[in-house]
Amino acid sequence: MATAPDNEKRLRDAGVILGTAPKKLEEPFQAVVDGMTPYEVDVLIALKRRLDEADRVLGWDPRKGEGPPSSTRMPP
Amino acid sequence: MPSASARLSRKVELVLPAYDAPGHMLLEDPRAAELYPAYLAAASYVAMSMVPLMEAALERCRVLAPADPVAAGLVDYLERHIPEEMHGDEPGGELLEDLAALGVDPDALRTGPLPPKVAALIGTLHFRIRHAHPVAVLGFLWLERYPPDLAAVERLAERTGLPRAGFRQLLLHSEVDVRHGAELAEVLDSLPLEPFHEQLVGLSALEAMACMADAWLDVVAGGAAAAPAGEPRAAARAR
Repeated sequence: MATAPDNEKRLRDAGVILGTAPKKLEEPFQAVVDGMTPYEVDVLIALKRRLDEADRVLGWDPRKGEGPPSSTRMPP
Repeated sequence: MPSASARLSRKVELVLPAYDAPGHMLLEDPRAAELYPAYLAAASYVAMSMVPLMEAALERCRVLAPADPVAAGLVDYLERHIPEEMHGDEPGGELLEDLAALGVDPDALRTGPLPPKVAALIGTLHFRIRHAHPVAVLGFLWLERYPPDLAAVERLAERTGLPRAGFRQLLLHSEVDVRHGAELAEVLDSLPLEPFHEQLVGLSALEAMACMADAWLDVVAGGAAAAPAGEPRAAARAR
């Protein structure tokens, strides 16, 4: 299965990898991210958008530390 | 070099926060008692599908085993694990009993329309098991690596005030899945996997966890129909 060179950028742009993550990912994660197929990245991004939408519907703002802490724990 | 299970765990870490979120949302929600039956109903499709998926994988593994060491390595595990995952006379039967204790009609779940995303997941896995490789089932089973948290289930039972009989399977799985998850990692690491196999397992794991998170978000963040409760059984069968 083909992998894509822009996986990390797409995941960072979507907030799956948070802006607070180091600019250079740790090697184990870098290998995982680089090895993902475009479809796998699509799955993660779609779910992150769904989660963001749910946060909005429920009135929680994870950036302010409100609501379930899990939504702010996107690794690494 | 990291093991296959370590590589899979790292990949799944990308989806874990979203997988965990609906449970936290449910626990914090003042409507938790109202939402919990539908939340558990969404999980029931996993319980009902797990054994049939493993049986399909086992059947395929037996066919492939003479020329396929990965399939051959799965036969023993699947033969052992299928009875462990029955949880009732029918696959997932005990979870349906928990739902009945909450007022949900199990027949409506058996015969009514599945959430389309869940149906797509189950269908996709059957297709992959048959046409790609039966090792794909391990991605679905990877859900067992992330069992319900015992303390959180106890808190949910207390907060909702719902019958404790409606929490039996969550409480059970908070314990047994710790062991099952460890065994699953051992099996994965024992197989002579090629990159193709790992990709298939990883994709199936990501899809399964994303699908379940999405289905639970439908419940806790609106848009989902309530679990079928109080519906005449004959009407449910007729759909």
